[in-house]
Amino acid sequence: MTTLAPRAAGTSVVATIAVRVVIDGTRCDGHGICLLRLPERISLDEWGYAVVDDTPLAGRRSLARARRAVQACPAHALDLVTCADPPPGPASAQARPRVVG
Amino acid sequence: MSALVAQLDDVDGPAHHDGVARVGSSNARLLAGPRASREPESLAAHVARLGPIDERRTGDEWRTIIRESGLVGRGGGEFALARKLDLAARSPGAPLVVVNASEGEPASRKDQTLLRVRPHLVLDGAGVVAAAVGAHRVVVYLHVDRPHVTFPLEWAIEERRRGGLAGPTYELAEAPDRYVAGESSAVVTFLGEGVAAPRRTAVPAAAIGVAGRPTVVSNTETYAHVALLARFGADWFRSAGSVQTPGSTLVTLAGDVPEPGLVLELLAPVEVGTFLSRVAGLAGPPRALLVGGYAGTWIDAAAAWAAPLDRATMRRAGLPLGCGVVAVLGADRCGLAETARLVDWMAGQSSGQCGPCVSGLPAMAGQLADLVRGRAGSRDVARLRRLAEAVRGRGACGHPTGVVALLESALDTFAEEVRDHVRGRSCAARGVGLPLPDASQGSRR
Repeated sequence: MTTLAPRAAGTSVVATIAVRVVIDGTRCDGHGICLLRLPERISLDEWGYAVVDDTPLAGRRSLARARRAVQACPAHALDLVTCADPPPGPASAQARPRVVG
Repeated sequence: MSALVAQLDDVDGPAHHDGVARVGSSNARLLAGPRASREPESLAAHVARLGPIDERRTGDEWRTIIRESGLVGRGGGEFALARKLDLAARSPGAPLVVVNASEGEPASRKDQTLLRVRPHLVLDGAGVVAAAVGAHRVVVYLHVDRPHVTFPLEWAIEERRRGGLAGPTYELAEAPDRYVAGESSAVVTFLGEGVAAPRRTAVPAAAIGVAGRPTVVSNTETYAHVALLARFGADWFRSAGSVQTPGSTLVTLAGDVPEPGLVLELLAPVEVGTFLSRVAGLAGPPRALLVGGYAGTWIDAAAAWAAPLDRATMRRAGLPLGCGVVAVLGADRCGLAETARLVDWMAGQSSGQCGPCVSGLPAMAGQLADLVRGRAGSRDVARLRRLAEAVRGRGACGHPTGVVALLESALDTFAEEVRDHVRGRSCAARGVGLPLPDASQGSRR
């Protein structure tokens, strides 16, 4: 996965690539800090777990806020990926992951 | 289709039906061979019946044949096998081939049946896949406490070792008997770290899997198909099934049928109604069908009666065949009561990693149980819909989304029953129709 390096690594280049926020549901503990950092992309469900809008981030400010949200997550549940990366999913990358022998 | 009809003309005896075969039927492919045998077919009988596999072929040649066959995975994902193999073959590291034989679907029997009566077909196919990607090791991944599957497999592996057959080494791995343990990323996690829990990964296991090695994980039936197409070719393989989904397909019958657990092989896209009237003796549509297992979709039986049993067609129709379970719900059952039992059980099968699954599924199960007991109003039904909406697409694997599909299709299909239960009318249910491994294993113990 191409994770964007924090800040220093060529912000100008990064800003031209479509980037989105993704969440690892196995890590999210519902701290809710991400909601404060990136309200335009994050909401919380009724149990407090983050629901992420993973459409591409628009603009440099939004990207900067997203980066802070990723860094602020105590559970390291958030990540930034470029839109060229394969969609997150089970290792098999099957169309509809099913739990079947 | 005409070639198929001709092929089916030589069908004889009561066990045969147009486009449908049982174990031992003369028109069968995967289920061909000794009829209705409880014994696994020996290596000698298997080789005598099918002949040897050409061992001179290169990995490239095998991958080309598999690509031309159009074989897709039969665990439910319907992912093209050739794409996994191409990825594994060009990824660095010694590849590993994993046969996912866990078959955690409580009503499904197709993989267990294959391993019990035709273990060498599965091992052959895994051997070909190993050759296709350059792997020297095959792991068969099973649930613990299934001696009826483990014994024939151990015996078959020993037979191959004694016979000095060329090919990879075969070994068994026994995983916890939990539904989610059969999810393919959970298989990879278990083999690598000893924990059978799904993981969210950005890179497919075929590129980076167990211990960082390219890992091909596919369903038992998929490998059995490979064993046959490796012998008879891609054109032969494509002469069954449909253009969109080439090859035959195994289906397990469940619920209100004379023989629950019966495994049948579909050689052509038979209509659901034709299929059920012939193999289950149904005179007309029952109340409803549950297609694709317990993470599947309920549908009014009359609405599905003319649908062709073809994976691609059914997926497009929002009725994916998934693991191949077709469950029948009789007219005297309550689909809501059945669904409540299944949702409760499925909630208890979570690996417990993701919040929406851990919190959402038991909430759905509880709300649905209240509805079935006549303790819920129309607001509570709306709340069920909202819960489903909140959980759909969340989590690291398809488990919560599968339960949502089950619940939402039940609310749609059994709208009349929902109204009756909301009004507090007594439920017409007669017992329960769908099997669960252990009824006490629900989320609310």
